[in-house]
Amino acid sequence: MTRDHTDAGDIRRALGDHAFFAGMDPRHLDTLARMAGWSRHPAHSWLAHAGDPPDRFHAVVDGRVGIEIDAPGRDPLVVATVHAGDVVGWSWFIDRQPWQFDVVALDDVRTVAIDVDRVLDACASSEGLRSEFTTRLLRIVASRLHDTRMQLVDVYGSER
Amino acid sequence: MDPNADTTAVGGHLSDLVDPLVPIAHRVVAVDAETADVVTLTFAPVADALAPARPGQFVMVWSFGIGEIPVSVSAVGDRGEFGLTVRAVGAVSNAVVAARPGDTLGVRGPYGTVWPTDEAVARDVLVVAGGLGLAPLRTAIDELAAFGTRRLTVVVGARDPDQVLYPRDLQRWRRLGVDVHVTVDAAARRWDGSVGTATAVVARLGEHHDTVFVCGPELMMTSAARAAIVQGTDAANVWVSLERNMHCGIAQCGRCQLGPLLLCRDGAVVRWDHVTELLRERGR
Repeated sequence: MTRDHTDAGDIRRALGDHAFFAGMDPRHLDTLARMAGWSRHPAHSWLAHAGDPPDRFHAVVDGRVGIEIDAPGRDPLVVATVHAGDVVGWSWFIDRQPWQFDVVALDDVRTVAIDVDRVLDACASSEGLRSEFTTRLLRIVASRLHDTRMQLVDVYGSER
Repeated sequence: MDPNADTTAVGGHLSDLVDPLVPIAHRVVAVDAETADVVTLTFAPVADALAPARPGQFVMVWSFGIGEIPVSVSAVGDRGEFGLTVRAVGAVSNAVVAARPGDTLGVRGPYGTVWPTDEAVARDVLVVAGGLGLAPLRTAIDELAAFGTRRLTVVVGARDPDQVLYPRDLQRWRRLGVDVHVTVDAAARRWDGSVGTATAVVARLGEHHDTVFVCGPELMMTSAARAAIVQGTDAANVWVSLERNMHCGIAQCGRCQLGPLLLCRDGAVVRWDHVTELLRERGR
């Protein structure tokens, strides 16, 4: 993983163009841009491992990221892919939970990585920013819960 | 039946002149394994040929001495040949899947409604197929690719990479300019597609489509149809393929009834806004 220290304007534009942040108050985007930097991950490298402290979360700009479960006695399994326009690593938002799963770059991946501690501090002092994050993360949680339920019922396995 | 009718010429489409419930002998000429429990059988008429199936139509396949099942037509060839993609799940389908080249089975049809491919010309079309649901859409995608849509996007969902049907067709469609996305419920890291639901891919596309065709397990179809409508597609331009217990194929026995519809005649391909409320009924 490498971090690029590019100008804040570049990061600000990337956030403004990213689907997760679409419609966010420009002032909040300005705030977030000051807490963020580019992060590059070659294919097959790790963004995080389950149990890691929640230092940063990633807005994926290029490439695919795999959320992987490595259970004893079986091969690691990718249970979801995260693509450009989506984010990975949001467990920190609730009680500052550590990373819940392994996260691997499936392609060469570029993200905007945002400092979790600084976001939490900013959310604590800005109800508006906290509300923006809550709405967006709930949208992601709902979507992934839906996917998980569909996978749980094994919708294709029950085909007749 | 006209006693003077010529019922022997190979290549004639005479099934409409005989008892519609009598299967017509067809010989299996090829068997291609698609997955561990799914095969595509290619049939050729022994004498009379069925009328060519249009995309989305199905036939009733009779395994002599065992029974009959409905199967969507997944390929249409020359000289009355056609393909059926079948998963072994019951007594009849196990017998059909076990057929070998040279074996004879009875087939009648084709029955049912069709994907409105002709209405999709010059439109932006999204096709969403889950699992075996790609089979009834296969010839529709071929037609759409040939007709010249403004844009054609195909989303294929499957349980895992080994269950993805027709990988050669997926490559061929890509070469024809079709935007093909394949997603599975879980995979090893080497999988180069998406992991997640077909619905998630539709949502990620984030695009309006003029016409949407969806076929697969009903849960998946409902979810994908709703996602397409959220993206701006008019519900009247969303089409799904519904299956019930198709039995007679000619709207006489009522076993495939869904509300006012007899799906062997009024389906399997139906407009989403015509069935939305019917599918909300419990125990349907």
